[in-house]
Amino acid sequence: MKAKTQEELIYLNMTMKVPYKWRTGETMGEFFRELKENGIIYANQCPTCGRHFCLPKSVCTRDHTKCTERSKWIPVGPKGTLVTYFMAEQSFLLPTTGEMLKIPFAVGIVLLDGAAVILQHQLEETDTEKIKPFMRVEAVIKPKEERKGNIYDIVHFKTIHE
Amino acid sequence: MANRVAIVGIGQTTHSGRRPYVNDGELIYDAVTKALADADLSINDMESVMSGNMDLFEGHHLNDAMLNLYSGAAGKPGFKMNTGGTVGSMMAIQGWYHVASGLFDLVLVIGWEKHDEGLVTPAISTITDPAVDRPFLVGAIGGLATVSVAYMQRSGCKLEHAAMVRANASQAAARNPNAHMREIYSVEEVMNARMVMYPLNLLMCCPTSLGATALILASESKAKKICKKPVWMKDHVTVHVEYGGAQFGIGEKRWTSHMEAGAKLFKRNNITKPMVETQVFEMYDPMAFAIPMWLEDFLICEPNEGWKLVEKGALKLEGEYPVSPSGGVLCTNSIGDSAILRVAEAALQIRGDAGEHQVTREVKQALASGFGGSYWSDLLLLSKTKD
Amino acid sequence: MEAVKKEPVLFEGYVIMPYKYSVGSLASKFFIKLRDSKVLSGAKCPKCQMVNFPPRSVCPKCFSKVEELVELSGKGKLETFTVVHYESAVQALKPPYAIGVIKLDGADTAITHFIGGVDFKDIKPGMKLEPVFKAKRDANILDIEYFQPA
Repeated sequence: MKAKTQEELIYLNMTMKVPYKWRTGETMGEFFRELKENGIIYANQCPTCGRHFCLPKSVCTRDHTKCTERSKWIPVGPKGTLVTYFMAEQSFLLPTTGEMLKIPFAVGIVLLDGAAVILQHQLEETDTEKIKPFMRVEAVIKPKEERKGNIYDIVHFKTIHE
Repeated sequence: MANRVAIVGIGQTTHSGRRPYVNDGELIYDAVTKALADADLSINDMESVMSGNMDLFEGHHLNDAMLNLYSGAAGKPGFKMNTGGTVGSMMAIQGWYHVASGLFDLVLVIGWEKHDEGLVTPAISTITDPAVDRPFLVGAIGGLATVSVAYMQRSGCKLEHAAMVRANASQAAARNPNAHMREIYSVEEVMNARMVMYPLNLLMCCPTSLGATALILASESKAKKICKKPVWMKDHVTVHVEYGGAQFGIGEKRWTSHMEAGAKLFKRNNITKPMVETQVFEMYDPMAFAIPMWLEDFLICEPNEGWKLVEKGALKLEGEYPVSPSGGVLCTNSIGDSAILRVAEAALQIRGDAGEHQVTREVKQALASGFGGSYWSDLLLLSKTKD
Repeated sequence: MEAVKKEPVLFEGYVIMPYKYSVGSLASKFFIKLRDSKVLSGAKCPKCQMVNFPPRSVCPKCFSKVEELVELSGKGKLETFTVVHYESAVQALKPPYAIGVIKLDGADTAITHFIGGVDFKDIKPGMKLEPVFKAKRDANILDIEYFQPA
């Protein structure tokens, strides 16, 4: 059999770096303001179905109703129940920073006490043996002087025993 | 009333992890010329040409602008689509709309991806809200890992069952010359693979592949002239999901877009025993838990029974209800192509042209699904007979 | 009834995505010839004889597969042009600079490239051009630094 000669193939290596701006809208703006100034996690409410959303939604995903009435907001959590989770044991490039994810990285799907929909955030615990379904967790909120009005004002969720 | 639509031409490239000797357009051209040859038609016969893939995955935006030379779309009507993982099945469905409307007789639809050239996980992460969700998503796999943990919790399914699914898929892919990962793995080998994101280890995740699939769809009058073995697109359903917690079944009754899709499709077609009335299912199975979990969600089997079917070996190529006899997305995942490939493979099973991975049952009706975005579902019913 | 009237929060960030692009087998041959021998070549259709440049492996006219490269002199004619004055993040050169659509002798399609070695006021459609190659070439289209009057 004739030996196959290796053909040189050209490819281009490039990096796309696209700047963007993102406005949260007034409802999430209010959520972040309350989190930053008062350290409170709020849920808003759909006037049609009565569900409490945390993170707040300006429009109900089911009823398509506007949910902007401020008097219907209630504090939820900071305790809640872990619904499910994933654990990253391999790193990935983070498109927001261009850096690699620090592993192990556990993310929990948490139903905060008083809320009707789930919230996803980092878990403090990264040992899969110690993460139990439906275990109780609590949001750890940064001290006031460190809070910036973003999702990282919640550091992570820690395991609690009640 | 919609006109009948048939698949009369099927073309797929071989699938692999690297293919540096072709560019994006040449990959598409390969699938298109194969589909035209299969139907014995020329590009000039096509009244509309449409393509779909994932913007950003190869660092392109609106890539059909530069690719219409290779797809044959130049000078013709049509559009480019991106609906996430469902883009391939949506291409087949959009082709259906064009022909069923009576406005077109012959339409070419293409799904493709060249995964070796971009980074999938960061690209997928950009689909979410950057203020709250993006830091925690880590691509599609994060969402799939969480639904897998939830499935294990509620159904009794174990990691071993996912390993059985992957071992079965490897047996099937070994018989499919167009599949990407054709190595045969035992259950033990799958169990011992490196953990990527609990509970999904490396072999329980789909690979990043490249490839393209093209389908030619025809109206009833054209189909009869062109093709001895037209495959009829009998019905299809698309369901979008509500963003939120209902799919985990916590606090509220569990509801998923797959459940809605199965319920609608089977009711409309008077199907009461899906595992009898359809004979094969080419499922969009992006990770190993998908097959047992989504057989339940599509209402094909009872809740918590999916993993028992895996245990019994019922879902193998020669089993009582073969699922993804091509090896599925588990062995070949060129995302923009993955869901159209499910439709193509289901159609090949109906034609009896699947070759070595033809199922042993006689196939009269087949299901094909698409999955992607924020858990959207496409479910298609294909048939050997037009009624 | 009090509605939420607070200001939205503004996030600013980047999407950073590295990617590759395989030019394919035929275009690889073109770029290697450009890099190694400063030769420009077009792709000739075996069926309708159309020569497309820069070379693409499918004939834009008759949809045939094209596998043959033919060498071109590199000289050509300016079809049309513009001068870029505004600055943005993605440009290869600092403005002002001129870009032109250039049809090479022996080719049936044209390429967009820079025009240099000439005062902007002297650029005229129809003028004859020739390529100026970079000293250090990396097998990409910028191995041609610009086209100048021949």
